[in-house]
Amino acid sequence: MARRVDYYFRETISGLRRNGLVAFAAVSTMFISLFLLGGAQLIGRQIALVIDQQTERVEVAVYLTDNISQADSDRILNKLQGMPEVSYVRYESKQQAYKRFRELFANQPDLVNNVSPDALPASFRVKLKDPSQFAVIDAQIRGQPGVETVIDQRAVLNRLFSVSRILKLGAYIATAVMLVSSIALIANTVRMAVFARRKEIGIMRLVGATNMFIRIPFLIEGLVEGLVGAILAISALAVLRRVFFNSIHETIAFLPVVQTQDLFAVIPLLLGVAVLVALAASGLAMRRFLEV
Amino acid sequence: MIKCEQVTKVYKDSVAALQDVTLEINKGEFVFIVGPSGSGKSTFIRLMLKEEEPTSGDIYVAGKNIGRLSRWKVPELRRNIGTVFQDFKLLPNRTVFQNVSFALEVIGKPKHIVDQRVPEILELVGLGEKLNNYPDELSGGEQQRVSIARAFVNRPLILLADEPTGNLDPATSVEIMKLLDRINRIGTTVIMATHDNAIVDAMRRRVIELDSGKVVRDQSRGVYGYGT
Repeated sequence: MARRVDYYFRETISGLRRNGLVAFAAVSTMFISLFLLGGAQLIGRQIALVIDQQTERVEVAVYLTDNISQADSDRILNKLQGMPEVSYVRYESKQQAYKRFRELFANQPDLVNNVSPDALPASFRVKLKDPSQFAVIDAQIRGQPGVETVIDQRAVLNRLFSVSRILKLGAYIATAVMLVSSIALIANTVRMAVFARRKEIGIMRLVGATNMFIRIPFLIEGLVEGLVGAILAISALAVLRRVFFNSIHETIAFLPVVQTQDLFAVIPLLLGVAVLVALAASGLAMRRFLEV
Repeated sequence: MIKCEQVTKVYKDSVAALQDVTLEINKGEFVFIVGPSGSGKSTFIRLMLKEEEPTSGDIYVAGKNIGRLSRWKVPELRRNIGTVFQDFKLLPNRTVFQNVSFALEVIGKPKHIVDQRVPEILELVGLGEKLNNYPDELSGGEQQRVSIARAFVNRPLILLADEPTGNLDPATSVEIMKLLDRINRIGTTVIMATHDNAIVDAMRRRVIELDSGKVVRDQSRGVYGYGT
């Protein structure tokens, strides 16, 4: 058994050395595709975190004009409170809006300093029993005297949803393309390794080596390429998470960001894909070039 | 040991390489398969090894119908058949010892068996002194001995030799034939395809002659051609 392991090890090393450049190409496409896949997963998790956090707080904002009369304001408040769809109504004054704004953008003093309390509109914050009933509120309140505009925060979230969907879809398509090319490239290195060793293979068959025995070195070679690509991708994702997501966190302090354990959760997927792709590629190459 | 029943092999271009060949070779026999190039000798050897399937007919090796053999059992069949070729098929980047040990290693034989058997068999073929030479440092005859050692190191029941003396001068050929004869006398069935009439005539063993894929002669103590 020890002798076999030794044999496989020697074969794999010499195979990788022989096809250095092609092996490099195979490893890099593997790296890129897994990096994209992992990146898409992390972005997806990031957006899910934000959406989770915000869904709790989603409200309808009825922004009031600056010159609204007390009578109009009371009338709108009464009207909102009288609606069966409404759970509760809260008034947010210009000062309160400013305070909240300052908290949200605490990390960007330049922005905060450039906005005066007066620039932010007062509003009624309306929590709906069913957030999808926005249209009913909108129809009755929009255009009333003193109402500037009515905004459904859910729409903002929905936009976030669709942006995330497009981002993820794009990343998955790119991943699929890259995975196909890494299958082709790994298959190519394996094929070259088979070709370089065709004499040995011929003799192995002749003296009755099993297919398994003949194939294992090539399988290992494909696997090593796949796994090296995966490890590079995981390392790059770890760096990305630290640098990129932490910088988001620093600019927008209230946003939750993906943590190291989110990265850990993605690792099995990446390794699994790497192994599958490598096996598929080696299998493909051997199917075509290693028939009994 | 080997039995062919109405074996026919037709290739895609519809040339019949073997036509309705029926023959039986017993354990321990030494058999020459003779005939001009393209008469079907090599096809016969490939069919024995199950490198190709007959178009029709059955082949039995050691009592087993190899047409019914599942694919994963083919290696087992080949372990029972040693094969020697005209062009030796040695690995140039391995020493004599390594060329022979390779055949045992790749079928998973443990190291102590390899280390015992390889020097033994190389001694038998007369290359005990050249274990660490590379093939290109050997003469043609010596290279063919290495290839015979490799074919025989796993003690197969059958030794197939496809024109083993085709690249060798007459004197060297005689040495190779002596070696094959010794292997045969140990009890190994030897089947040798050749068109070297001098050798066939000298050995006086069974001769099966093929012509255009048909058995045209099967003589128990034969010579290469009729009337000689």
